Amino acid sequence: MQQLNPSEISDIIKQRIEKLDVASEARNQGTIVSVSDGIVQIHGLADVMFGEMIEFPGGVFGMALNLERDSVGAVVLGDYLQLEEGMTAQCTGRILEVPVGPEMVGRVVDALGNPIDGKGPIDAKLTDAVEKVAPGVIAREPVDQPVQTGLKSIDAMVPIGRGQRELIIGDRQIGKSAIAIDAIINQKGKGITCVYVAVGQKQSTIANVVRKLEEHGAMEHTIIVAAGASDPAAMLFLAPYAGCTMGEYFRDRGEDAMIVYDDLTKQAWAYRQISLLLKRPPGREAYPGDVFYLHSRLLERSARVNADYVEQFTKGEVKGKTGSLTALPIIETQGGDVSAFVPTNVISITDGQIFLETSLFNSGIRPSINAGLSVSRVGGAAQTKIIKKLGGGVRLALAQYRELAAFSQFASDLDEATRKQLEHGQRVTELMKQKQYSPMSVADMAISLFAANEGYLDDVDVAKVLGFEKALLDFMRSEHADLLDKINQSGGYDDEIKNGLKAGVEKFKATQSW
Amino acid sequence: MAETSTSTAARPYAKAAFEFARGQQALEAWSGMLSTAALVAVDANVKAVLDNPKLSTEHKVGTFLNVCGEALDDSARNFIRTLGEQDRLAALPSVAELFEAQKAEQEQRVEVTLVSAFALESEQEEKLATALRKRLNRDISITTQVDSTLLGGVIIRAGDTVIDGSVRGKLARLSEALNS
Repeated sequence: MQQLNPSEISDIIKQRIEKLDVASEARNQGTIVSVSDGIVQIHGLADVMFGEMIEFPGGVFGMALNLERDSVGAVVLGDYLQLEEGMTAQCTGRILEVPVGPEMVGRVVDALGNPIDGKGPIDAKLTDAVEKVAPGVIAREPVDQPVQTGLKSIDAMVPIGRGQRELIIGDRQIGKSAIAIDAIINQKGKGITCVYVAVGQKQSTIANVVRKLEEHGAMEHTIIVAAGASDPAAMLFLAPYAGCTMGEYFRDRGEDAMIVYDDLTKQAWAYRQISLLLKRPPGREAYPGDVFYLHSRLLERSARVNADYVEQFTKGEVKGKTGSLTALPIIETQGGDVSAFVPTNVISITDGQIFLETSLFNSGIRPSINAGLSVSRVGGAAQTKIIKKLGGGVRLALAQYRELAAFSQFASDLDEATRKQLEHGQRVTELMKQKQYSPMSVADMAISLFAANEGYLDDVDVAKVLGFEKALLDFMRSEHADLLDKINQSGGYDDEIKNGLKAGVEKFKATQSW
Repeated sequence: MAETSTSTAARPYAKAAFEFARGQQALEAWSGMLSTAALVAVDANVKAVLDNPKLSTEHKVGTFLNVCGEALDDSARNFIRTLGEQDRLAALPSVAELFEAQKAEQEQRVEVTLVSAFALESEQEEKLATALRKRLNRDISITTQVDSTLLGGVIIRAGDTVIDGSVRGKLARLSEALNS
């Protein structure tokens, strides 16, 4: 017996026939002259717009990227193997759009917004253009609210604010994505919707990310836009813009969102491929001339917008709320070379970078953040007060430690002060280590940093620092839960909190149980 | 449908020929001469001569002009010579096509192709022509074709604009909507 699909129920077919508009309309038509590697040259199509969707037979769409005198160069978004020379191509009169809205949250979609997670169709009410112009100067507001990544080393040393663009850069396999995933997991229940854009990754890696996010309950506030390694280059090129449009939906309605582009190197590769096939002249490293603009126009759309903009955008429905889209672009370097073309471009566009280093990763410091080269240009204003107060010493201690450690290798006996500084540095370095998928709350971080700052770690073995921290946090959670709640809620730092922390840590140390 | 590469090469020649012809008030004559020359250029025997690398340019141009005979006047002969010197005789069909397009543009006229499932009655054709003249805001010259695979209705082609009112097109759209 033949199997019937669920979509073959007569009622559904009837509805579809009813909805179909068969009125004949005038459409601009052209003929495919050549098809090659996902690029088609079309003769005709005189009225086509730049970036317009072009319809090919069989429901395949393309996007016009090269408008020439007699012909149009377009990339095919989907399967181009069935296209042939001589087929017709039609204008649609629409710029490429993707579905947006809260319905997208919790779903895995491709670069065009089609669901690929097998959970059925997405009932999104709105669609929005993939390529949009970033908000102007008037619409913006300074970054002054924090995004807690839940990672001690980042929140203490390179704080990230809502609306900031913070680059995560480093070689392959040293935990770039891990930082971003941890940051997404930590947004659970904090009102920040996350978009994770996977560009050119293995399907297995994407599946792994989805599973990890599901395990930690983070899919409930996350949209995943996936363009895998086997997808056409056009999809890899489009995915970040599509994800950005989905994130902008929240920004423009006075909510906060965060987007991770993992990673932009692969997007630049895909764009290079498209550009070379479209016969645009190659420049440095064979990238086209507009590869800087490729990333700058994308990252510029991550911004904090003011209440006026939100009010105007929502036509008065949302008042007195600012919106933000925080971006965490990821760039993969080759052999630690940050002076290559794309890394320097993106470093100059973003508001700071988190620099990961292979040697640190291999010596067991994870996340392997290089404290000297990592900066946050605007996050300081957004940092939670208590972390700012307590974490200020960490950077300094690590910087001094690095210098002394290099120097002390030649000296046999050191004076007391130097030795102390070295030992403190070792302990702080150890304390900055953190396991994957275990983000910390502000209060947790405050306790750890407080203990390090006030010298409570000095008589703890370096190897036992993390054990000490864990035991201390467990103790504080059970004995001083109200203090922790207070810190988490206010984020401030005053004498009362200071004394509370002091009493707690001293009480714990008296137990000697680590 | 013209090849992209030859029409790029043909454009400056077509423009020059058109402007010359307009200046001489001889658009019709030039149109005729160019279409004759284009027909000559696509002839297999002439093509063999043009593609022969052993023959000199003068020889090729001479042969070409001989074939055209009295159909060309002196200025058109000069035009052919210029084309020959630049080795662009093969682009003549494109030149003729672009010339016609410019002439149509000048005369505010559009070539419209009507493809119908059954032969149109003159009354129907007239009705369509009036409607199209109004819609395109141009004078139109109609060519009709019959294609029974359309099943019913008509397809109207005016340049790049296509109005598909055929039963076949509607069925194709229906099948796409049901399959998506």
